[in-house]
Amino acid sequence: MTDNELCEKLKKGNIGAFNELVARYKTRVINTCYRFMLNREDAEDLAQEVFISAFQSIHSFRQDAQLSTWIYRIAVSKSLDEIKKRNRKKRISAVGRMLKLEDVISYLAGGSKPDKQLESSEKMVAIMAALNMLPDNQRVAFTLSKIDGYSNPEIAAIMETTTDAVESLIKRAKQKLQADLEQRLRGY
Amino acid sequence: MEHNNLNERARKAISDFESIGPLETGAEWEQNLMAKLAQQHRRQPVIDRPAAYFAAVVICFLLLNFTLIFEAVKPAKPGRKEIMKEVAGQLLINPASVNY
Repeated sequence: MTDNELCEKLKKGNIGAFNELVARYKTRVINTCYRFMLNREDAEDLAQEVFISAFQSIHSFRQDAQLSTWIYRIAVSKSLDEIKKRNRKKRISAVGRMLKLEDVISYLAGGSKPDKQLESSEKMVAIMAALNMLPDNQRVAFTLSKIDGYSNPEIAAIMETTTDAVESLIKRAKQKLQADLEQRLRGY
Repeated sequence: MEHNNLNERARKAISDFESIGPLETGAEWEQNLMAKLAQQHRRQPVIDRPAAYFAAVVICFLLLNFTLIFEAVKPAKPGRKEIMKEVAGQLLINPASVNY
């Protein structure tokens, strides 16, 4: 079944087509979310949200892009939204800590931490902090470029920009990360 | 020397990030996904929203009409002038009511 046929069936609310969609794209969607969240459970939950959201909004898909690109774009935007939500929570919980509002903090600390395995590495902690400091477009381009199978033209399609712009974003992200990491690793 | 060391550690950190292995999911993940989808589907309102708004407007319009009709049909209460006239008439017609 081609993506267009799949899309037509999805628009009719066909559950079989939904299963096919999941089977085709689940690995890459989950791994995309994982690269952003760095936590398995969060990535799996987010990936489920991506598929549900895709199924519910399939009518808004105009088919001028590939179905895969559209789904990966949803995965990226959901991941960024989730990161922003968590950063907001962190800021609020920092205020709570200052005011000694322990209950507020424990409630807001619902945002889970990176995988234990990743967290154990001092470098991983530093890189996560450094990634958080990157502008969204650099972070997306750099992160996607590290996932197997995403070529620069594909990243460009997901980000709705040009391949040259993607290359430049990845280059700048790397330079910034390198400089930021050197600063951070000085403390370790 | 120290800068070179830091540079190397930063490079290693980036390469560690690059080498995070791909995640694999089992059947349980798909089952959860289908359960979530079914739950979302149940949550969707059965009533068509525009139709519900239209029905609410029609009901309000009818209620307003009934109120206006009721007000128009209801017998009017006698005004102050009418009451005074009636009292005065009674006083004139019935001398017994005059208190000497």
